[in-house]
Amino acid sequence: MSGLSSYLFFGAFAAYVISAILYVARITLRRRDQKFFAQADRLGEIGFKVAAVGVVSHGGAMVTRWIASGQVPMSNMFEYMSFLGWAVMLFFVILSFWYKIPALGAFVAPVGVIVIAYASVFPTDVKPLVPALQSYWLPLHVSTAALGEGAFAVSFGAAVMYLLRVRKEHAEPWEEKALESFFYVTTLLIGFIVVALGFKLGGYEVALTNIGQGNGTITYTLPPIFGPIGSSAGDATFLGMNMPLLTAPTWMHGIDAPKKLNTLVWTILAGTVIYGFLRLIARGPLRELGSRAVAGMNPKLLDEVSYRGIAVGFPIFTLGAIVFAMIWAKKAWGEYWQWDPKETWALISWLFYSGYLHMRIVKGWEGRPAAWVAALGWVLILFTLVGVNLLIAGLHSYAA
Amino acid sequence: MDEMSAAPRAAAEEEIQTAEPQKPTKDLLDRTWDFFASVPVATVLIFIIAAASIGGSLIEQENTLSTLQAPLEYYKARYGSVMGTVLFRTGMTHMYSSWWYLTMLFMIGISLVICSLDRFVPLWTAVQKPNPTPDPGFVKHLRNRFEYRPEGQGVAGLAALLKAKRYLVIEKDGRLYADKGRWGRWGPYITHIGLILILVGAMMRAIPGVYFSQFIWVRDGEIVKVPNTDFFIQSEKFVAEWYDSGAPKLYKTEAKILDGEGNELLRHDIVMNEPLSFRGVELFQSSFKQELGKAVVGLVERESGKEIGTFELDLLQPKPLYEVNGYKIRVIDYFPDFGLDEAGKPTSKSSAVNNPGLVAEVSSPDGKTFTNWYFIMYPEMEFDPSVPVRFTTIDMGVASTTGLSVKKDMGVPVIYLGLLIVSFGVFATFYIAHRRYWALVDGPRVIVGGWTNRNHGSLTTEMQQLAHQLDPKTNPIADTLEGEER
Repeated sequence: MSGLSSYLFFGAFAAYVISAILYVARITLRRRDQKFFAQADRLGEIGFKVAAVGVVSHGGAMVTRWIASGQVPMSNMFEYMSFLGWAVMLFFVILSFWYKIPALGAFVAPVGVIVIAYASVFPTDVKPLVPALQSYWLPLHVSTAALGEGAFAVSFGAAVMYLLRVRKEHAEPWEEKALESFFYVTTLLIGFIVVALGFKLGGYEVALTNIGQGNGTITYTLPPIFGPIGSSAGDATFLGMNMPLLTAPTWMHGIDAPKKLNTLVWTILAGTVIYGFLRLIARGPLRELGSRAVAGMNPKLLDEVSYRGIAVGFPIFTLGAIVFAMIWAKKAWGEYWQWDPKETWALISWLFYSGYLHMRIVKGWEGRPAAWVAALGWVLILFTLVGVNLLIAGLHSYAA
Repeated sequence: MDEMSAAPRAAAEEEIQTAEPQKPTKDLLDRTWDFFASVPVATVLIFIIAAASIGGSLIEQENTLSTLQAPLEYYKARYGSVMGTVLFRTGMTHMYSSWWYLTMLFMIGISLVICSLDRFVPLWTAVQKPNPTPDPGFVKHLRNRFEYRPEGQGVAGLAALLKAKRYLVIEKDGRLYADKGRWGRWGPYITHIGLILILVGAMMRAIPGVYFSQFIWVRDGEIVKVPNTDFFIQSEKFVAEWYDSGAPKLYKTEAKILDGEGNELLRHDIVMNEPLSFRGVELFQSSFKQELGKAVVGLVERESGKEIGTFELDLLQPKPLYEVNGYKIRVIDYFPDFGLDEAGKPTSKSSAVNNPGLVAEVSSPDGKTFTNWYFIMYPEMEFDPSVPVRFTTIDMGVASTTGLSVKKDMGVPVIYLGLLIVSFGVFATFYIAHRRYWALVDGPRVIVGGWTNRNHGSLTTEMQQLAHQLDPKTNPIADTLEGEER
């Protein structure tokens, strides 16, 4: 059963990748010449069907994993991220069905692919639940929060498309920079995934002496550019080089700080290389490429899709990330609210999206300013899910 | 699923509908009221609170510190002398209880109340007391319209169709008004009322007696008074289990609630996610410790090495006297965590059983008495090896102490009610669309106007279907394909 689950998961991942490629190919083809419109739209239809098959297969993967392990597959980072990726693709399929905007696929399907690839970075083995997680609130809280976040992801994609579409008419310099940074951050994420997955598949692992905070050694899964304090060059090798090249600065606190710093440096290196490569292909800033892709689209429709993603997602997110979270916190810890970093960041995201919803009814704020908030909202969600675990510790024992 | 959307213009229309008429002169009260009733002000407040909350999660908060330094000194060392002092003095280091953060929460609370009050009456009139016979020009100028030639008399055909679609239909003076999904209009206000309740529930903590939070340690078998109550808790046994991987599997306290006379009032296993609840007080499994608790001790004749007998020594609180085969062992002094003080005298460094040692007076059946030290963990260490009997440690056992959080919060039911109302409110807001139709007879034709507060596409589709059903000849079904870049 767990073998079947892995096959279905891999099948879903392949389907999402193919779907994303088809959607991108569709846009590229349409840009070529009007005579390719029919073929291009055919690609879009196939892309939609492939994505839908992927969603079904992915759902099957989660159900079979559930049957095989006997516990709801939402108890570690891999399972959670996988579910989030499923939610993104599910809402993408639903909203594409409603609005029939295949171009959305070129922006949202890659987001789904990235989320699922990111899931694969984490250990995939089933771990039994620790006492704090043994509750039916776990699947209730996690699934509803993730579903809402999935809808927000679609809104993010549409908002970025809207901003790329309207920047030709008017854009402040900071908006140009911010748009480009969306692309850069995306390539950073891709860079991290490529590096982490590559060395995970290669089985790279080295234990380094650590005389800073923590116990004795730290196990690195990436070649140490920055080693812990107390490690010295030659403790590890990579491509014939003696690693670590440097040691982490002494002011860094936290048990795994040197390892996190090392991961960050790798991410920036790999992401920047990918970004530079893409820029060479695009022969210009990536936002220009993005703008060309959405040039023929109706900005009002994009704005509407972005709004609808949030309108659909907000009630679900409220239920999962605030209501269920508070009730569970009360049951497990005795307090419904403790300003734990994860709780605080869920509140920040929730406030941010409710701010967006209010902006929509204020004259002059409903267009580009609101779209920026919709785009930034997903960045906050990502930080809540990933950044809080990496940078701030808390009661949530989800951290990888 | 097709009812979940809105276009910005619908909301804007609502804004215009409910806007207060401008008064010529405004006093301070009016202006304050307008300030808090304003959507832009509320929006800005929401974003400021969000931004401030980010700050609080990035700056290390006082309640998470574990340091030997005074907090101010710690922050000076962590963030630099000036920055550390500024952060500490402005309350950035206890953000969520600082006066200005609470002021902002209070302001958003005021805004919620005033916005609700400000819009309640206009919305009540607009939604619950609609005008079924508005000016014909109003209907003729609605953006969504269709016309048809009725087969029978007047608007009867349309009324029947709308009733079948669960619309509330009012016919008056040969004209028609119909609407459904009124909850969708009330959704935002319901949400706001829920949020107000949550804030009220949280503020109730300030009232004496509403809230307390304590922590107690209860050793296996021990009876401890539950703080701020008139009952007692006994832990019969604390159980901790682990998976093969070493990860924890179960923390459980087998607990009994007793009254002052020792009568059992309730028996309940406290595990994580399943607190014990009794008379409004809840006990949560939140910690434990396991320490040496008992030892099986052998009394041995020194010369022959023959064992006289064994007894079980309670290391948490030894009994004053143990008897083994006619020998009496009197515990004269006991040190659970043996050490020497500055003057070189024996003392206990703590009350934890880390290195138990005791002074025992042993009386043999023939009436001789000897006094000697006995260190349970190091029985070979003796101060007086001339004594004819000695102790050996045969076995040592663990005693568990469970750590329980004791909480009472009478605000919780209010909070839960608020959460329920918020949940209903947000779903009503975004998943229920308020749709309304007006129809009037204009010569041989009927003019139908439609309006909705969200999801215009779905209203358009419904109107096309209605037009087609009422008059297929003049209203063929249009190609509904909604597209991009065609």
